[in-house]
Amino acid sequence: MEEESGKEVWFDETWTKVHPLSPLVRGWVTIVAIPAAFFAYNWEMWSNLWTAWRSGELIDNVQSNPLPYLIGGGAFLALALLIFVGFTLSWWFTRYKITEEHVMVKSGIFVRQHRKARIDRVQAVDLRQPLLARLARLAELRFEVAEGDGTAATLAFLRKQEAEDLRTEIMDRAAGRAPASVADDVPAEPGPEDSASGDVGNNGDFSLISDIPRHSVQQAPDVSHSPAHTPVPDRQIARVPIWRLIASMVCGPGGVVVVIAAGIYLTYLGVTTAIVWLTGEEDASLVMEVGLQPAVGIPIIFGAVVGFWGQLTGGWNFTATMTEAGLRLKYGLTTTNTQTVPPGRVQAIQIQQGLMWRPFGWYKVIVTVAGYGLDSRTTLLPVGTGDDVMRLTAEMFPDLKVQNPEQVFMEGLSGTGTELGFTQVPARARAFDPLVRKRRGFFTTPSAILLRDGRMTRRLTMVPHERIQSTALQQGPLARWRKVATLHIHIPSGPITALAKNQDLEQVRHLFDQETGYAAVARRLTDRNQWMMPEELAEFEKTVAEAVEKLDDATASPAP
Amino acid sequence: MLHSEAIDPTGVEWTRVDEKYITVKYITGIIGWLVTFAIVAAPLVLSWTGIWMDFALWLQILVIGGLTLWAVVDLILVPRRVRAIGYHERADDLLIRRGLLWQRVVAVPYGRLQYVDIEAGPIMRKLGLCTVQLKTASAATDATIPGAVRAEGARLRDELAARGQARLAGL
Repeated sequence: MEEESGKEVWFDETWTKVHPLSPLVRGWVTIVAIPAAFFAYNWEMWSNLWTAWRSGELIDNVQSNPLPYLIGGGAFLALALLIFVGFTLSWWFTRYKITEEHVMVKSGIFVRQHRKARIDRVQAVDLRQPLLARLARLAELRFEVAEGDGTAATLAFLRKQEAEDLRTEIMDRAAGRAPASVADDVPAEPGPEDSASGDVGNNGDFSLISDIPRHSVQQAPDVSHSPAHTPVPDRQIARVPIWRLIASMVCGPGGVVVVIAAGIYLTYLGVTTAIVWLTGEEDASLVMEVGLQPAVGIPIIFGAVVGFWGQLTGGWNFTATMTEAGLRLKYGLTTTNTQTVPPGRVQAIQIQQGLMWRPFGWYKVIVTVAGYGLDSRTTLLPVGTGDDVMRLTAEMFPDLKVQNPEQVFMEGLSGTGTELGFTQVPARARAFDPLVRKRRGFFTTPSAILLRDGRMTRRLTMVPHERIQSTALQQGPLARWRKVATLHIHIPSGPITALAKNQDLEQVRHLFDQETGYAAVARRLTDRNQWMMPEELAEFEKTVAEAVEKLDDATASPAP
Repeated sequence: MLHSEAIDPTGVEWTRVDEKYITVKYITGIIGWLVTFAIVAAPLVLSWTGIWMDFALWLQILVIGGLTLWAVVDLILVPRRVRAIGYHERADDLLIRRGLLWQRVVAVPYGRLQYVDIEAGPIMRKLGLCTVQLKTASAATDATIPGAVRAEGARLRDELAARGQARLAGL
């Protein structure tokens, strides 16, 4: 494309600039931190200057010997100018362009970066609003793409309204919804580009900003007003009240660690105090004083605060709403996040329940979505009730296709033993899993495989057959002796590992055969990039049929 | 042909990799053990020459004896290990097995293939061998056929790519 042709590309009119406040919003820490550090470091000098100013001495000094003051002031101004120029340049060199097929972002002054994301491969679009962006009504858009690593393209920052419109548009196109808009896109596409080129040629920088809304206003209605589009009202799936979030944190793994750490610390203090009191031993009192030093407690407190802060911001005002584009999650304390997870992009889902959550009936739900990797966005529900989980899985996971889905579900969450047809680690392999033996098992339905595990922290992992990338059967010497084996279900990388450990050999071999068979069939039926487009499916089926025919002919004649 | 192990799917006849791969594994195995011995020997030599600390005699014998035994067993098992590698093309997926003590059978559906890689180091190139590597969207797949003859490797790649195209599913 054009970008290979030369340097002019970076000033091409078809590329849109982000909001001019963007570098400020992103780099405000630098702006605040550098002067703050400067002031803090030279505190004495500043206070001296201040008293000098109050007494009128300063003016005399400047008049008699202005050089050091000029140098100091000049340096300060130069620094400010440098930061300003840096920000302006970084803003000037950051541009994006949205074509029919791609979202492209270019950035960097010296090290130039060009990111390109295929729209039909977009897995999810997230909207982020850090604190300052919220005040300025700006938002950042992140596109996750199946191929590649991590976030594929980030647009930071746009006006919030523009960002939302753009998100809707991209999600619609990624889903292949509104096929009529394909025809609309052809005349609509040159529109924003023409207007953009006209504006850039004639006007100053600020007119460019006004381009962005025009761009989305022109395109978004095309999509939403197309005849194939019947709007479905949004439904709220789950909400996390703040009291529940805080209670769940106290009862969660972090809370337990803090309680244990505090317990150890207090015991230590108590024991040493007791020894000092009883024996009057000098050494012991020394030990106690070490324990009382704040340096011992601070790392523990710091770690706890960081951990809790992450949980708190990740669950603050958490709402999950089912919209047309997928599940919309909103949360955040200082930074507001809005992420949309289309059900068709969920590779696997896991429901967890810690020991201390059991009396309250709370669960956590995490998912694997290609591109999310391991970060906190993989949490679909930080803490929810059983009903929340039921509703959420019903929306985000294909129908289990069994007669008693709720029973199966509950059995997977909390059951033990072989009830309902779940498997367990056979008694002969008890030595391998003495505690979790009766929880470690699997259950297959026509649409998915359910894997349950964990005695203290219960886990239920569900993977639709059609999402399985590959399967592997593994067996070590001890497992061979006890006639058990482990089945690994390979899914794209994320927080979920799906495996059935130490299962009965016959059962797991059967599962292996079944899984490979299922995967082959299910894949042909349901896998599409633009999963909402019926034509896509028909087309896909046709090409598969043709190709299979060809292949069969080819393999039939020359036997390998 | 390989005799069928407990975790092998029934009715599968494994295609073995080339016998010359045993030579490759011997060479890389011996080099690996020489490096290990060099690392272990360094402190011993230092102590014999009196530059660095003393080690008890029994410890020296234990370490050297243990390592030698391990190396010998490891090298003796090389041919059997290579013969335990096998693959089999089925209608919808490719099966790959490996391992003697720790066995693994992986099934990679053709539709999940993202790309097929062929690579060969200097020793493999000299012997006309290559490693065929199958990649899916999951990093855990880890499906490689080491030690295939180069022509067979090329055939496999083309065949797999064609089948992958036919059943292309992506994520």
